[in-house]
Amino acid sequence: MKKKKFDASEYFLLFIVLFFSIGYILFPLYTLVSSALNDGNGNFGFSNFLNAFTKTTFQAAINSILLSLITVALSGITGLVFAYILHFQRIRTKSFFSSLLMIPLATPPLIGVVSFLFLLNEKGLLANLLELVFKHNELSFKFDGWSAIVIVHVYSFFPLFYLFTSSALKRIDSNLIDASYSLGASKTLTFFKVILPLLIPSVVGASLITFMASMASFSAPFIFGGSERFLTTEIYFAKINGDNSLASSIAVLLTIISIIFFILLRRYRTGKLFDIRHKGVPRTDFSSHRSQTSISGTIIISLFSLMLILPVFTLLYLSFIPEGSLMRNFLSESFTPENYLKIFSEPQFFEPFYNSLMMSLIAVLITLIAGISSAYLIAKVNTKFKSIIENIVSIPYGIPGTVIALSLILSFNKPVLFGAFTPLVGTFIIIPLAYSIRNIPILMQSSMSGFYSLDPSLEEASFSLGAGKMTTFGKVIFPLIFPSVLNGALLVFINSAGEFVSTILLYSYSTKTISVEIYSQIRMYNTGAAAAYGMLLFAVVMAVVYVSRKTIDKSITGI
Amino acid sequence: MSDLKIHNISKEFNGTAVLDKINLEINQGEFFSIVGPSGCGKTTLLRIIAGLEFPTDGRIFIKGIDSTSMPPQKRNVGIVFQNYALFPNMNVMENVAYGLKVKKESRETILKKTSSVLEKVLLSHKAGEKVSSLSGGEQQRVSLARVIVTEPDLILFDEPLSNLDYSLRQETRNELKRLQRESGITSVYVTHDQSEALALSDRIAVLNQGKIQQQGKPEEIYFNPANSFVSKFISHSNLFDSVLSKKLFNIEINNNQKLVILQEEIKPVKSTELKQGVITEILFTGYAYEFTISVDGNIIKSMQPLNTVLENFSKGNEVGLSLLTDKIRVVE
Repeated sequence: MKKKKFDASEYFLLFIVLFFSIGYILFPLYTLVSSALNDGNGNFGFSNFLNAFTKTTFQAAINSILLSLITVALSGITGLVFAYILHFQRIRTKSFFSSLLMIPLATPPLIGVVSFLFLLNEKGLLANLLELVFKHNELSFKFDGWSAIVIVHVYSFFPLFYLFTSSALKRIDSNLIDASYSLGASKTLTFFKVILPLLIPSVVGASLITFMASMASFSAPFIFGGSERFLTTEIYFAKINGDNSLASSIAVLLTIISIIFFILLRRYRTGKLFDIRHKGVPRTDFSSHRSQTSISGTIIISLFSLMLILPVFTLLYLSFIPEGSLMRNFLSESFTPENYLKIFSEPQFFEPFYNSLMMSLIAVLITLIAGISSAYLIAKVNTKFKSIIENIVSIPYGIPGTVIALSLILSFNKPVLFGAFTPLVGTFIIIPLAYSIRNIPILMQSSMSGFYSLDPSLEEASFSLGAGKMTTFGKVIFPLIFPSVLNGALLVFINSAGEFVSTILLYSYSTKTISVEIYSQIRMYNTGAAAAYGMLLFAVVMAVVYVSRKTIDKSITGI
Repeated sequence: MSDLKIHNISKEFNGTAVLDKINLEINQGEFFSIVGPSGCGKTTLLRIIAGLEFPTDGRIFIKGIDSTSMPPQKRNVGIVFQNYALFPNMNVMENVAYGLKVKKESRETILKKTSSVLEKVLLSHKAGEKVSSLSGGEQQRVSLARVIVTEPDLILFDEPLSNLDYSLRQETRNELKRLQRESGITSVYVTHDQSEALALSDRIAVLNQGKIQQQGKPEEIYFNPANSFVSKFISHSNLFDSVLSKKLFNIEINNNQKLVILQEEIKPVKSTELKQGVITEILFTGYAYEFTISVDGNIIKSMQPLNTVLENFSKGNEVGLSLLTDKIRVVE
């Protein structure tokens, strides 16, 4: 795009973008850092950091990094193996499997944690089933600590590796493989010398994302962690104990680690990816080497599908079992819809559900306005300015939810300009605000991909046919970027509807969300209510995923 | 009065001159081509006429009105793009109707005009189809219909045939010429393909390195190139310096001049006295033979249609050169 002068409407968009990025990205970060550097007596320095570096914080940092490394390794192996095995399977099983993969991908982290809790707990579904089969009570499951956290993490993150690797496998030209064979290489040699090197960029990309997400993970360490300490939970406990300077020091530490990996990720994405696209010559799909489904393949897929579905199935099962059954052998209980009826009949139980939906909608609205504005400016203006906007608006992607919540609390516990001169802490709006900040990078990226895939001559054609800027945007540009924008908006909705990490720090009695309610029901051992809430959330998320796939397919192919 | 007057147009990008004092006048109903190699500035000139770029210096007059700083919306100039630029969110009919809708024409007028223009481009039966389901040639016709229907003062073509394969290109070329003649709309056509420009145009301007090298009727430019660039680019002529010209053909020219011989004006002959060169390549292209003859390291090309009387040559034959014209053309 050429350098163009701004007109009034573009200055307005610039104002929106600057207001959002200064007020809700840079200002909270600034407050966080200055709180970390302030020792409480008005002196600035690193004394907080020195105090924060006690043995426990150090142990927490080591634990967080170790957990992330283990998660990356195990999810990576799982994802890669399945991508490779499934690549040679028939299409039908593959598409079935990849739609099942939507379950762990779209399930809110807290729901994943809760379903595993119900499935593998000492009184969980699996223990009950085994008891039923083996008729004795001595099998005791201990589902907590490291193993529990790692299992939940692998469940949540391996699909990422699967998707990255299988899309890379799809892009490999089968002629490359044939060339390798014809030059005398064996199957094994071809795998290590040709296929694997082409997969490495995808694997590295998925690893960086998983590492960041693991570092920022809160729900699993929070619920299964017990006495084990991790950076995210340390921040939470410090905040709950009222030690703001300790909380912000740890938060800054965690953010620095995350941002380093975030920068690595962005560098890597722009620089190192192999270009295996070809000019002109149509590529032969490497899956033409596909064999028929083998028996072992079928068994693996079935087992795996079961593994993907089982946690959700547990949740569904428990949601129809009367309250408090986790204490008894619930296989003998009869089914009842009472858990659901309670949510929909009693206002105080319905409120969290309503709150979550409202807050998610508001978050979608805010991200739509700020996200499309930023994407539009990035697509229009000259290079230097564009990368400034893009970098600032992308920052929240690299910041853990716990840190975002903490920085909002520190920034808006007093009347400031960006809080409309009222303290926002404890209000309703601060929660959707946190969701918007966490999700703005997603909406910006999806809108940008829409703008970039537009052929610039379409705009020129419209101008030359006499249409003004507004008409062109309304009739040509917006309809064409709509699918990408919608995709982003639905993702924002899904992420917000089950958000737990920042909500747990920001909610007050009247602004409980569904995720907070699930957590408090579990603390009270109300498994039925927790499961019913979880299923509702799961149903909403899956409905959105389904609708988005439909609408997006339709708007691409239908017109 | 001319429909389009380009007066002293210059354009710089970051200090580099892309167009240097271009002057052109294009008459009403004329089909005018701007032809040149890639990077010569022809597309920039077209975009300046359209209002998608603005010149660093000079003025543009459309129908006598100074349009130099007018935005594209106000110019009433239609563009047919190389990649068609059809709106993928609209069907064929909606694409064609777009310009009229924007001008707030009545429903009946829109319907009447779009139907009649779709008939002209032979696409009435595809009115309700998605543009992506059309072939490249059909898409290009929709793109032309979308422009014609708005009755512009000027149609600009930006290499409209270059995305089509060879046979479709010939077909679409003839179609385009017919539609232009029928509509009578003044057209400016930009291309790097000299044969396309020759076949379509009433007049041609040859552009190189931001400067107009020559303008005139196709035959004028083909047979009387103004300089060595034009003769090479338009007719792929053979150029001989004064020494060679004297040695081979006994024609005396000045030292700073070059003799221009078209490929079809020179042919190899088997002769015992005249052994000037060696045939290094013979290509059969269907309607002609193309000979490459090397004379003391100088390459000479000869193209002979099948109906010319030719002896039986093969590669490596020593041959003489025979001129088939007595016209002597020279360029600086």
